[in-house]
Parts: sequence; structure tokens; C-alpha cells
Amino acid sequence: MNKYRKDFPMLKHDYIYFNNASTSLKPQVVIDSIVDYYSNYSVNTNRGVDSLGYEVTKKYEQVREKVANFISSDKDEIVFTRGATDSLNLVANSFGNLIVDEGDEVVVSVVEHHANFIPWQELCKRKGAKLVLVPVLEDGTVTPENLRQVMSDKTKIVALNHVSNVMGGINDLKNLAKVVHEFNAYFVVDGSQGIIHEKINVKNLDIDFYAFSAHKMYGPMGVGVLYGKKELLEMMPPIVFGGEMIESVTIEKTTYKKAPYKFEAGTMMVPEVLGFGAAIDYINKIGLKNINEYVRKLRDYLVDKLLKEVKDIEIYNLNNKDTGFVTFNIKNIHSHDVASLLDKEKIIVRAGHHCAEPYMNALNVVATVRVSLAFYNTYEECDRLVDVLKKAGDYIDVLF
Amino acid sequence: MSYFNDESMYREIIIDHTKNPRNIKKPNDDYKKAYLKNPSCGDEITLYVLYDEKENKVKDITYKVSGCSICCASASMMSELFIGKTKEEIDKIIQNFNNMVTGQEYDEDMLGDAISLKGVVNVPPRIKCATLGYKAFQKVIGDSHEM
Repeated sequence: MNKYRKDFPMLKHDYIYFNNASTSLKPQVVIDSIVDYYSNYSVNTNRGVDSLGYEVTKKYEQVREKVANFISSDKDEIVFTRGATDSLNLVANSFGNLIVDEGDEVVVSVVEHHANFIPWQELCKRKGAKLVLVPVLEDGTVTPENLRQVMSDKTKIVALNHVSNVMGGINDLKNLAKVVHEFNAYFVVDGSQGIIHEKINVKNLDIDFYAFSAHKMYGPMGVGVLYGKKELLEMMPPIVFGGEMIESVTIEKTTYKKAPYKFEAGTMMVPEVLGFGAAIDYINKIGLKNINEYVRKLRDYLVDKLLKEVKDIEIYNLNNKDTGFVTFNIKNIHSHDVASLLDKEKIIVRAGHHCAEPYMNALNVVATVRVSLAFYNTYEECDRLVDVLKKAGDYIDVLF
Repeated sequence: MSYFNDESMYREIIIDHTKNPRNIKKPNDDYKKAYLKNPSCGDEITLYVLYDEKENKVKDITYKVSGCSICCASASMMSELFIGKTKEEIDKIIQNFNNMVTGQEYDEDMLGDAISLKGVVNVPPRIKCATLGYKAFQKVIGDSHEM
């Protein structure tokens, strides 16, 4: 896998980047495709009759097709958004608004990222519905059995992560979806972390909505996706209004285009969408399976070495072997002191509550350090991390 | 003030305040309090100040703090510095501390143990940790000066 390192300009700098779950680095092909857009066909999509506009629209729609192929959906089930947060807010504020009434219930788990927690909390507040928490296992996952226990005929929506951004545990989406549908509820999945760790087939899994961001899959920031089953997207009213999402506008009323176009109002982030397409091509070239086999081996190596060599380390997710996450603390040392020291040594990790405060409270820790690996990370980089932690002492070296 | 070996001494001071935080006690209802949190990292403090209006002095300070070593040590050092001082004196100390961590001119002699945190100037992301207690004090006293 080391041969791909040269594809990433950021890796030419003197940093070890272990915060891939926050955002991944971008290969040159992604950057090039953005530059290519601004240099060679820098016009808007869908408007008018000019040939450049026609070309760029074609390219934009080709990316929609690439995304659809990537998750095995139909092309018109892919809505481009600003990112997973935007996608989840769209489902909550449009679909949620439509089907959740007073007295209904929405189920989430305590490990959800704030982006898959607050939109539902707010929806329930607006509607007088109840936010119900499904219990999670120690590894942060939700079992179908635990889900069943909190389901009832009042449950309208279940919103869960595919992979937890704190622990890296993988949820069994297929069997969770079965439980959700037994109760005639809808299943919304936050795929922000999962999309890059497992090839998914939304049709086989029978997921109703799946949200993710390009920037966690080597693509640009500012673009993401909401997958929704066609009939559900058709039901949903648009919540952002403006140019290009309309069929016809009169003084009396407006009619809207079909999904997904009715959700893409105004000028979209065209260069980022095109960069996203380049990122998907790049992933397909290397193979998601190859990427994840390597990450799994690298993670095994790192965990083994940390446990053997770093005194007082406490790893919280030992059994989540598949997603490249190592979540830990050093006993009696705050995670920010650890991260700050690593930063001084040019090793970038995430520390803090990981935008999952309810879960941190449930774990009874204030904050943790999270290393999240990607396929361009190396065994040598893992050695370096262990070396720095071994020699850390009181962890306040940053001040001197 | 100059030390033969500043680094090891400062290091000791910080570790000492982290492990043995000063002025920890249970406050009664006479204390005014304020809660502050750094939303980005989750460090939080509830600061309790007993202010003697007649003498115009801080009679006592205590706090509950949760966070990194810089945040906790800084709050402890601050409590030692402020007890017995007037608002005006404290204003100057706060200004001085703020100058130290943001790389402006300051007077070492005013800062007591807090001088040990001078290295924060080289770690800008941690300034917010060092100043959390000070901001909480300003919130208690109702001082609107921005740090």
C-alpha cells in the first residue's frame, strides 16, 4: 500500500496523519479534477443551452451515477448535499416533519455523532414526540435484539450509525433494518464512517436513508450524499427553495422537479462533486477490500504494540478490529495533554468528546484519544506513535 | 525573577498544581458562581468566588474543574493569586496573564506560580485551556472585558 503515498501531496509534509475519521487526505487526482473544472469548463450546470453547460452537467450527472453504483442504488435516489450533517438534517426536517406526530417515537443510540442526534432531538421537541435511546453494547454497537426491546407501534424512525465515530464498531444494518421494518418504521443510517470501511448495497440491506460525506472518502469537503428510497424521496417536500429545483413558477404557486433535483436548489458545489467522482474512481482502482484488509492488519499491529510497550494505556475498543480505530486514554492523563504532546511531535490525532458528548458521559470518561488509520499510513508511523507515548513522561513537554 | 533551571522548576510547579489542586473545598451559598466550558474540547469549570464588598476584596475562591493539565493547573494557580486581592489588582493580573500567553509584554512578578505556564504562548491551541479559569472569574464578577 505504501506505493500510493506519493498520490497524496499532504504526505510530503513532515506529519503523521492519524485523524482519518475526521477527514481523510486527498489524492492529487481529486485536486486535479477541481483545478480542471475551474480551468476548463467553469460554468453552471443545467442552465441554458450553451455547450459548456451541457458538458459540465453531463459530468455532474456522471458522478451521481458513480455514487449510485458505489452503494448499489438507482441514480435518482442520490441527492447531493453539503455533507452528511446536511443530509441528516434534510431527512429529519423534511421526511421527519412529514411522518412524525405528537406522541410518536424516534429511536437513536447514545453513541450517535451530534449530527445524527440533535436533528432528531429537535424534531421531537417540535412535534411533541419522544426521543427514545436504544441500549448499546460496550463496543458501541446496537444489536437487533436490543433494538426490538425499544420498538413499538409508536416508533416512526430509527436513526443509527453504520460505524461509530468513537469506537469504530460496525452495526449489523441488515438485521437492524428487518426489526425496524417489522414495526413499519423507517431506518435512517449515518454512513459517515461506514461508507469507507465496508462495501454496502443499500438495496440488499433494505435501508431507507443513508447519509455520508465525500471528504471522509478522499474526496473534497463541502459535498455529501443523501441516499433515499425513490418512493420516500418523492414523498418528501423540498425545504430549500430557489433556482433549478422548480418545474414551473407562477405568482400563485410553484411546482417542483422530481427527486433528487427538487432538493438541489441554487448553484451546487459543482467542482467538489466532480472531485468526489475522482475520489470514487480512485477508491475503485485500489479496491475497498484491499484498503480495509491493510487497515485491519495495521490496526492489529498498532494495538499489539501499544499494549506491550505503553505503560498505563487503556484501550476502549479492543474488539473493534475492522475499522482502523484505536480509542484510548493514558491513565490519569487528560486526552488533550496526550494529543498536544503528539502534535508537538507532528503526529495528528483526535482528542476530546468526538462530537458524541452523550456517549462520553455514558462511558464515564471526559474525553478520549482516537487514532484512526487509513491505507496510506505505515507500520513505521505506528512505531513512531508508540515511541513518543513511551517517552512521554508527564505529558506537559509542549510547554517547554 | 530568574531561575537556575526554569524548565524543571516550572514543570514541577505545574505537576504539583495538577496533582494537588489548591483551595478545593465545599462552597456555601455566600459564594457567587459561574460555569464555563470550552465547547471544542469539553474542558469545564465551575468557579465559586466569595467577595467581600465592604473591603472590596476576594475573600475566597474555590472551583470544580475537569480538563487537561493546563486547564486544571491554571485554575489552581489563579485561585492562589486572587485570594486577598481587590478587583482592580485582579484586573491587572488578568491583563498580565493574558499578555503572557498571547506573546505580549508582561510583568513576571505579578503572576506567582502562573509564570510556569509561560510556554503556552508557543502552543496557541492551548491558550483557551490556560485562560478558562480567568474567564470564569470575569463571568462571576460581571466584568465584560474580553480576554
